[in-house]
Amino acid sequence: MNRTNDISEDSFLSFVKARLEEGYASAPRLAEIERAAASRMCVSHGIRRAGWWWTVSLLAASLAVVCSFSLFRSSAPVGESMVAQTIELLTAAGGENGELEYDSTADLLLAWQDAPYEMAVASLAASN
Amino acid sequence: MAEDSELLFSYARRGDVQSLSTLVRRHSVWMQALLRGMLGDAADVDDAFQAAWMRIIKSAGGYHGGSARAYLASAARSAAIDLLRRRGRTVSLDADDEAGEATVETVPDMAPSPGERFESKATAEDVRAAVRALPEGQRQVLLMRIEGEMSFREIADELGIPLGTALTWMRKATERIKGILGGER
Repeated sequence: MNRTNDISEDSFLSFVKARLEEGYASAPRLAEIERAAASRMCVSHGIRRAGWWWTVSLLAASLAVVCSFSLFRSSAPVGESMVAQTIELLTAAGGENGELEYDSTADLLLAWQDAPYEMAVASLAASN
Repeated sequence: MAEDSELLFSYARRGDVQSLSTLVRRHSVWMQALLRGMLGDAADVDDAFQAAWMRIIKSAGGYHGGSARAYLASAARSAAIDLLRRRGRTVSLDADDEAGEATVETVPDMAPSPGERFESKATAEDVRAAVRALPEGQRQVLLMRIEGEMSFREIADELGIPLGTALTWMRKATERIKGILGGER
């Protein structure tokens, strides 16, 4: 029988371990590792901070868009009432056939509904 | 004294570099021994040691508890394998083990008092050479067991081998080293 088996497994492995670890310093290149660790943390904290700012900026931009849209919507009736006033003014100047003129003006306005109001008004004024 | 796992969490979650420094001081010696066993070359050990800690620093957030020492051993092993691959050396557990099987059978079955021999004659270089002579799989199991202090279950999971194979390789590695050191007398 192999007499090496007499030696207890644990003590043999402890012996191997001790021999393998002989001559090694306790913390080689520690400064380099610490620098890398610190810079890694700076980067990851920076990314986290940047992510936070992006979120806030995105929210602010979304709010701005929503507010602008609401303002635009609320200003729409003003435009409509301007058109109505223009029609009224133009037809009032039309004399006896006011109703007919109103119809043709309304048609013209419908055709121009996508054009700026100034252009529509200028066109109507020219046609009258 | 703070537990290793607390130190790892402390670095990963709060960026406490001091915790990481403590870990480096506490675990450097055995990690270098493990790397030396895997790589052989002393200069490579230095590079792989640095690479292992870089790996730990980058993936500290991925540590979710369990044995911190096993986590570090795994990082060291991965760094060593990366380095070997960069040098164009293949790392195959099975192929080398086959070669090792034959050698184990040729280990001389005679020796004087083993305790005396191992304690007094075998130098660090003898032991390192004996470990380096092991087949890859046996060497990795031995190093993870004695340096990483990993359980056989952890070793089997790490290497992707059955638990029984990890146990067998450990036994063969131990026998072979005993044989090699015994034969040098």
